[in-house]
Amino acid sequence: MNSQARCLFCFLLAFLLLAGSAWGAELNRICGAEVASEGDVRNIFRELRIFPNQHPDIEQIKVIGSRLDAQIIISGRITEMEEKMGDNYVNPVMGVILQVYDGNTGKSLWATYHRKEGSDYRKIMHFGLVNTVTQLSRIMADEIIDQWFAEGMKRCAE
Amino acid sequence: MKKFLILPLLILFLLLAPTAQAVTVAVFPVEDLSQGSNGVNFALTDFLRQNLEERGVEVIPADRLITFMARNRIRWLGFLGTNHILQVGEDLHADYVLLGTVSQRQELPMAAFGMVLTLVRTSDARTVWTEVGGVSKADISNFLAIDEPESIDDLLPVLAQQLLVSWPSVMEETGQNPCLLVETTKLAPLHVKPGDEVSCTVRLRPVAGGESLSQVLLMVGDDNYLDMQPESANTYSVSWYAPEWDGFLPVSLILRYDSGRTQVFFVGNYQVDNSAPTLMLKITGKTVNNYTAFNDRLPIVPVWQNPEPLSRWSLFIQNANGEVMAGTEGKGALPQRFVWKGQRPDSHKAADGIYDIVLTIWDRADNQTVATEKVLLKNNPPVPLINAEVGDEHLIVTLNSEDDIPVDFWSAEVLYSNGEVLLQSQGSELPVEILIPFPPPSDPRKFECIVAMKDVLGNKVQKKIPDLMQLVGPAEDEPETPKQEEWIPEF
Repeated sequence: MNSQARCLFCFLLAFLLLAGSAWGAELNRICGAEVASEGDVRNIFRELRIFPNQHPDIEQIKVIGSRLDAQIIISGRITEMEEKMGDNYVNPVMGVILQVYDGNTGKSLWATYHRKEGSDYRKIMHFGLVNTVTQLSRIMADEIIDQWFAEGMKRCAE
Repeated sequence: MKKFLILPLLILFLLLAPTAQAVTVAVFPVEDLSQGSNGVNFALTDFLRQNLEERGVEVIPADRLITFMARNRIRWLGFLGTNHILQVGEDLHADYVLLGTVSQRQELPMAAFGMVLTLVRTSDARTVWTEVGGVSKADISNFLAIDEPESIDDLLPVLAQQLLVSWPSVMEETGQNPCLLVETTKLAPLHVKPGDEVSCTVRLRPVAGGESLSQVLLMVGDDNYLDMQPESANTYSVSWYAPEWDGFLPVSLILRYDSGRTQVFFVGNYQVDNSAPTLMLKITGKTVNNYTAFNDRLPIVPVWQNPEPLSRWSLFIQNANGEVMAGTEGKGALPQRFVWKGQRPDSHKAADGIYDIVLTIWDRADNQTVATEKVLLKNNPPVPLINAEVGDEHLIVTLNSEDDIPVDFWSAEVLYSNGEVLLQSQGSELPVEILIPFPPPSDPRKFECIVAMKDVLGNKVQKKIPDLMQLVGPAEDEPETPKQEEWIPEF
């Protein structure tokens, strides 16, 4: 990764538990983005007295971006997450809203809504089905990151 | 002979060298979110430790790791801050930290297991490898169902093996030199009045091998630089007085290194506020004698003229002597409305009279505003004043109220003593005269009168006069019993 164009992502706590870990991992794995550690984000949240479910304001996002040297800050909210029981298979469902902020200015750059079901990936019979919500969140993360790059986001090395 | 031995050993070493990695990994206990935020999965932790050891990775013993966690008060699993990651490298001499989170672990409706693994380099706290995945019983279908997993215990090694497939084959122990770490910053207070003291304290963490600092500055506003003084080891602080103008001032930490490099960290904004918040009280009720009057419940609505966040507020209701009849106070946002039920602190009804409602608010800079309003409490019913006099052909009954509160409705019903209604009358204006025709002289029946009255506040009263003629003239005085003039012995 080009250190001059250091691309550091930071996930906000509202999104950190299940999906946040998966999304951070995928960002790091797919595009080589450097993701700030959850511990650092939590420490700053505690210092700024932001509750885990509270959304930071624009000044607080600037502080987080500056302290973590993060160019991009991603926050999100899981709107839907369940596992429906199908015919001898489990159909996980997940819906997320992601917001991308500029770490320097705190301004919102992008927002994405994405919803998928495990059965959306069925190829034939039971082949291709996604049976766990963790695996579904990983696939959705890949899809959204691909979509971001397709719409103009640059990879760190570019 | 020795030459023959050295050659096979050299070949063996060259074959094993790529697989055996001379790195040390600290495998932290795996967080298990399926058991709540404090869940831990020791089975998976042991599995990972064993798997890494089989790969030739040196793993920090569990007891040393637990001791380290206790010493550094690490209470949460699944993640570490940069500070702790660097500490692992220094204290345990580990090159990497492996962190894991079980995101999903369930038997029903179908066995499923999901987790995230992250490998972090301790020399620069950078993530070098991470994997996420989930597997369900339905994902694994073998021929004739041979060796298919039955429970999550069977799924655990399957998923762990899947994730570890991409474990980096070559691991660099040294990364980029991390920059100096800002551990904590504290800017307080964030809202001040002109001339108030503001202070900022920062704690830095020098990183081994990192550049040394030459100057620690605080930039307040756009061009005001303050030299931060060392308070204790790696802790710097400075205080200053807020300027005389209102507004938000940005504060940034500037670190200058010996090499000439400068780093800037935005600490936050603080607000200088010299203007008190403005609001008024809106009280709904009937206006009586220039006061807002009520009899039961008084809604009090604060109306902002220039809304702003508050630090605290208080509302007190005082009588004319300044005694507090009711009160409440709180921190933060002002409630949208208050309701006073006309009661004292002991829950009894407060006496009728004029009360002051005093609402005091303080904004975050402690600027104070007081809004007051006077109200009239009247929860006793009106007192009917009934007089009668004999006219030429009628008995003239005059009806009035002793209160100042206007009457909304009155009714009067005159009956004979046997219940026959002689006259009914009603209206909304007082005083009023009611003319009652005299009965024939041969009729011995008495007049009864029932008067009902309701004031504009809703207080109601009903009064019955058994003999209306008694009001005409005073009854003959009964002879007064003579008082004892002098004491006499009882016996």
